[in-house]
Order: sequence, then structure tokens, then C-alpha cells
Amino acid sequence: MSCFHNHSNNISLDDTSLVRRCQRGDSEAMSCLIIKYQDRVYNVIFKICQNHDDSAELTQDTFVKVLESINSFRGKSSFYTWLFRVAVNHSLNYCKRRFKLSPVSLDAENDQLEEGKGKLAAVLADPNGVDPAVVAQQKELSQIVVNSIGQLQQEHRVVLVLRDIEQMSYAEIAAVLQIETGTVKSRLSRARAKLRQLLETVLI
Amino acid sequence: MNENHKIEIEELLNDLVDGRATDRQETEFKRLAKHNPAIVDQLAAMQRQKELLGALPIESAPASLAKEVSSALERKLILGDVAESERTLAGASHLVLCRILTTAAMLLLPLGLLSFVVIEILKPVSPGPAVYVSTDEMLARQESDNLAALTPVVDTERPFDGILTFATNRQMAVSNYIEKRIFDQGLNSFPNRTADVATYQITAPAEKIAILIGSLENVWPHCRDVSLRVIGSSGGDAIEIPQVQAKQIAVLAVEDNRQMLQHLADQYARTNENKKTLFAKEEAAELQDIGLDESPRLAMPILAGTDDAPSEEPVSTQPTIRLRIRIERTIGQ
Repeated sequence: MSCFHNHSNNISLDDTSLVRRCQRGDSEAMSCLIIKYQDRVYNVIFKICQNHDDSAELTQDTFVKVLESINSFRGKSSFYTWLFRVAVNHSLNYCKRRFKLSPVSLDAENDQLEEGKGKLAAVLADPNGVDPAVVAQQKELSQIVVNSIGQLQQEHRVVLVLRDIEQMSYAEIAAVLQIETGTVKSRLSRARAKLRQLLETVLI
Repeated sequence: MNENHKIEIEELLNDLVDGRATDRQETEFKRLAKHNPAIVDQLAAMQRQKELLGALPIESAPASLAKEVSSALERKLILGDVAESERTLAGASHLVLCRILTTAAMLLLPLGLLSFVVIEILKPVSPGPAVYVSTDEMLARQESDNLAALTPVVDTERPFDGILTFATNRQMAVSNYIEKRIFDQGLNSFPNRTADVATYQITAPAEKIAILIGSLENVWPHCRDVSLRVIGSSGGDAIEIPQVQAKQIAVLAVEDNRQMLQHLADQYARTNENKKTLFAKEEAAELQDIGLDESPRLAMPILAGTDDAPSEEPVSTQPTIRLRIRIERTIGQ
């Protein structure tokens, strides 16, 4: 598509241009924004909600909401921050309702992943062991990690996902969640400690 | 190692993992590592955990996501257009107008019903059938602005109420003459005539009655007898005055004191009875002189508001009285 011809590292500049075109009703620019961010948004939502179908629906709703109200976007924050703020808030609201009905059982998932536990334990315990990137590409092992993330409190889970998976800066996380940077730091610290604790429990 | 110290170490390690540690934090970490080598392993584990999370495969969104978003947007736009048209100014104005009219109707309908009930309760009672007022009564009213004069005269207590009877063998001529005099005085009374008796009922102010009587003096010589019957109060005992004279009638007519009237009538009755004065015999020639054979003019109705209305005459303050004149035919004498 034409919107990717100018794809560069300067995302903000591209976002600004695309947003202006969207505000003028350019459907092609809308498609460009969707394609550009759909995987990242979907990935974050999935790590938060832990369900593909829900994540697909939530991602669609997120883009519909954003593009529907694109004319109200004044550029006080970056489009990227605004998009993820909508996505995270929408996901958290949805997950709050869903988890009340059907809490995720980590044990049930782990019963099928006994074989991969050893490899993951080796990754975390041995600094000179297997490359974590290689381990992460193994489906069963990545599933254990994702399920462990799902066991975190929502406010910790979101910060962890945005920092360690989406690779956002502390400032961006603070902007998305509309909290102080110090709060991001403390939540992230607790989230990492809790995840390490969960993984150790699972792997023992 | 207390809990706070653990948290401080955890945050220090996180800053190191994220590359945000200051020189002072790095120095602090080196100092801690000398005393507690496990911290180094913890930092390594945290770095590998972070690498693991960062290396997790990116979940790809469904391929049809962009298309579905576009379709959803189109649906929302279409529905949004409909909703927007419902929120247009014209639609809102119409809605407001409808609400105002509905409210007004809800208020006015009970008010209208309430007003109708109140009007029905408070409106004056209809005057009922009109009371026929004779022409004589109209005259009486025109001659007096007194409010009492507006009251139908037939219902008032009159000082004088009498029946004047002329007995004559020329009943027709006398009747015509009297009728003419009645008309000339502006009094109006249609006669009730039979073959032998003619009756006129006059209701008028006493002064007018007195003048009328005075104008009838020429009739006396042509009558065998003239009598006056004064009706008592409330139809009580009547006083019969035989051979009554015109002057006597005039005096009685203008008397407004009923007791005095009764007294005078009684006196006249006794006096006349004693006189035994005979009336002069009828002479045709004399009768012709007084114009008994003149044809009477028809009484004309008096129209309200005409130029000849008797408003210029002196206003009479006397009450109206009633006099019935009866002309009887005498036979063979």
C-alpha cells in the first residue's frame, strides 16, 4: 500500500500525516494506520487478555473507536500513545468483566507443558545456557510465560507488557496509563518480581 | 534484610536491567555485590527474563482485521448519519414544539372545563318570559324617571282604583266621545265593547286621570246616572258613589292617601245619596253640540325614541292609578 512507501523510523511524523489525512476522511490513510499498528495492538491486548478471539474483537473495537473519534484528536500526545491508551483501557475494562466470570487456571495449562519446563528453567537459571530468544520461539515455553503473565495483577501485568513486550519507555507507559513515572517504576518492579516468583513456582 | 531494603535492591536491579541506573546506583550495586554475590545472579536472571519476554513471538492480528474495521466504521457512519439527522435543529425544534403543544393542551383542557363549570355556576339566571307591558304602562314609565315607575303598575298598591259607570241610552255616542277624549289626553286604552256595554281600562298618573275626567264633564248631561265605585284596598270593601260628579272624581283621583281617599269616597257617597239631584233630561241637540258623534281616531302605538315623546312634559311624581270607565246602555227611558 502507498502508506508504506514512506515508512521510516520517524513514526511520529508519519502518524501525524496519516492522522491528518484520516481527519479529512481519507480511507486509505485509515487503512494504513490499521495495518501499521494492528499487530502491536493485538499483541499487547492478547498478552493482557490471554484470548485470541477476545483480542481480535478488542483490537477491532479499538481501531473503530480511535478512527471514529479521530477528529477529536488534538495531538497533545502522540497518536501512538493515544492508540495504546484506548486499547489498554478497553482491554482492562473487558478483562475485568471476563475474569469475574472465568478465572484463568494456570495449572490446567501447565499440565500439558511438562516437557518444556526444563528448558525454561535452564534459561532462567543459567546465564550461559540457551539463548532466551531461541527458547521464546518455542510455542510451549512461550505459552508458559504468557500464562504466567496472566497471573499477575492487572495493573502490574499491563506495565510489564508495555515495558518488556511492547518496549515502551517509562514516560510512554505513564502517558498511556495516565499515571506518574514513579508509579510505573514501582509497579514494574513488583510485576517482574512476581513474574519471576510465578515462573519459579511453575518450573520447580 | 528487611522488606524495605529488598524493595530498594529490587528497584536498583530494575534500573540496571532497563539501563536507567545512574553512576551512583552502579557504584551501590558493586558495593552490594561484594557482600552478597547472589545479587549478581538475581540481576542476571532478571536480564534473561526481560530478554525472554522481549523475545516472545508477536501475535499477529487476524488478516481481515483492517477490512472488518472498515466495515464496522461504514456501518457506524451510516447509523451515525441517521442518528445525526434525528438530532438536526429542525427535528429538535419540531420535538420541542410538539412537547410545548402537548403541555399546553394538557393545561388548557382542564382549565377550559373548569372555566365552563365556573361560568355555568356564576352566570345570571335567565330573565324568563317577557312581561307584556301595555301602552299605558309605557306612557307611565316615560313620564317618570322614578325607578318605581319601572315596576309593572299592575302589581303596585294604588291609592285610587275605581270603576266609573255611565248609564246612557246613547251608549255608542258616549263611548265614542269618551274614547276620543282618552286619545286626546295621550292615554291609550282599547275598548272592550259589546252591544250594551263598552269598557275602557286606563292606568295613568292621577293628574292625567283628573284632566281626563275634567274633559268628560259634557258627558254628564247625557247620562241617566253616573256612578263611581271605589275599590277598597287589596280588593276589599268597595264604596259606591251614586250620581258622582266630575270634580269629585278628580279630587279622589289625585288623593294619594288611601285612608283619606276612603274617607272622601264615603263622604261623597252619603252626600250624593242625599241630594237626590236629578240629571237633566237628554237632549239630542246638546249632544250634537258637544261632538258625541265625532268618529274616534284610532289609537296609535307610541314608539320609543320618537320626537313627540312626552319627555318634555313635567315629570309626574304621582303614582299611577287605575280607572275603568264603563258605559252602559239604558233602555226605554
